[in-house]
Amino acid sequence: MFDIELIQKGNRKEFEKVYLEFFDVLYHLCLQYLQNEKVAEELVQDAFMKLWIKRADLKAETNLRNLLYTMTKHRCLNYLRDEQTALQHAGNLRHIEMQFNYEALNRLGNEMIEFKELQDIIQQAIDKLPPEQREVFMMSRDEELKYREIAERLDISVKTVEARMSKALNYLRVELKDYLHIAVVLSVLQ
Amino acid sequence: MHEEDFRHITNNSTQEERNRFFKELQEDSVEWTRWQHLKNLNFLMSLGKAKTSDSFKQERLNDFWQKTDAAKSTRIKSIIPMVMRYAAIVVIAVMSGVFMNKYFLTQESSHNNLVSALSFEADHGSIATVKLNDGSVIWLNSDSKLSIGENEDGTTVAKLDGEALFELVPNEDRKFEVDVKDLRIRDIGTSFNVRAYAKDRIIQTALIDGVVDILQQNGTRLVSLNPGEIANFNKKARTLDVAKIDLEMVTGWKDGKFVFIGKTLDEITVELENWYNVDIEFENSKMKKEVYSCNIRRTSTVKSVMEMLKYSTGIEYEIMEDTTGKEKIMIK
Repeated sequence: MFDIELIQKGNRKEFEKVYLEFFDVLYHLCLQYLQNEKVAEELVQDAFMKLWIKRADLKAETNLRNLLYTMTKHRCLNYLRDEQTALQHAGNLRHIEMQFNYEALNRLGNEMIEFKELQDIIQQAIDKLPPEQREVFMMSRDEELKYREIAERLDISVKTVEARMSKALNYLRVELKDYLHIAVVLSVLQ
Repeated sequence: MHEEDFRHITNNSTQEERNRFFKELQEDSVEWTRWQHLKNLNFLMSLGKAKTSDSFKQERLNDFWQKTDAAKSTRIKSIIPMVMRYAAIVVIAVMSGVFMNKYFLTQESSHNNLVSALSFEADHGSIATVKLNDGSVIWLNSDSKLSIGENEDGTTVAKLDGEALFELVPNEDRKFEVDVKDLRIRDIGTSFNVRAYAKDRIIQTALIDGVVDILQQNGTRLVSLNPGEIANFNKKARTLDVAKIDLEMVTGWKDGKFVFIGKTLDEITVELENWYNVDIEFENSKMKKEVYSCNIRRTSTVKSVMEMLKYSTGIEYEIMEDTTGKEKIMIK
């Protein structure tokens, strides 16, 4: 997929391919767990910079996907740890959320495995949802609608939307539990 | 577990609500863990929509190379160079010089052979600063090379290809010279700017304060500059003019500005090519000779500079990409 030899030689064009391929998922990873756009951007840039500086150490068989994911994840964990400590000392209750995010992120595996069959597994799990749960879930995920918007569109209460989403996610969590702690799967859900 | 609490792990609630939620959650270790799994599940599920716009990514990528190139020049021994970067906003100004003297020179090669020279480089699109042990600072403009060493007389010699601004701490015990092939510039405790890119037709030395002597390669003194004066050496005609100059125009590059004083569009584009590592071509080559003076902030993208140039000079341009993805600008 990527010509590591070219990257080792300092070919910027090839490196830019890597950057553009993985930027979105890495940025999203940071954003989900850090909830701070500026920091998310900084950490992703930092991970890419480290990769570029250390490009000579890459091996032909290096999995850039895993490497970048691990580098970014570690940066997020470090940030959350520091942020948690700072907030706790400042008496800011938000430190509990940072602790929560830290532990959650730590539970994600250290590999991003890309196996196509998982895409089917996830889709199958979604297909097994009761229709009204699937409907709400798809509207939230695919159309990025807020619960309020979904409620308006379906003419149901926000509470009902929340309840259906909650049930759907809980179901998927159980259904997909074997994959959750093994790996983060990128590109699979797209 | 309260079902509506999903908002809290999908970042759809206020910070205050989340603080309350997580504080409560912390009390129940089973729930605490289960919600973490849910958070992760939500992350996985939302990956599909993790898409930022192409322009957003491109901006981050530009920013990435800027930072990376800036970090690159921090690899020199006893002298620590730092690289500075600049962005945005544009100002335009116009300047003219008044001619005072003219000198004619003969061709000569460099007399300086350096011992154990250290080399520095500022790449395309970056400015480097070199700090000497005595506190003197040398700013290196984009695409410039500088090697510093001692010659047989014990004079510190800085050989320059490109543009540099020297802010030298006065030092009685040290002789300092800049060698730009055609000329030598001898410092006597000063700040001065030397512009001597190999491809330039004129070598410019401007004095900010103190005194510098401009020498022929054989050491004959041609002229002493006073602050606010610029010596223009025409390499082809081998003539030297001294003129008054607005120093802001000379040192602007150090503060993140492109400064063009009575430059042809051809010369202006060469500098833009250096900074942005793009090729700029002319559809109508007559335009190359048009002369402009302007002072433009180095912005993060070549496009914004071209826009500014378009605005200030009325030129039209188009940005094209070749097969390797390298950008090329066509001026029409």
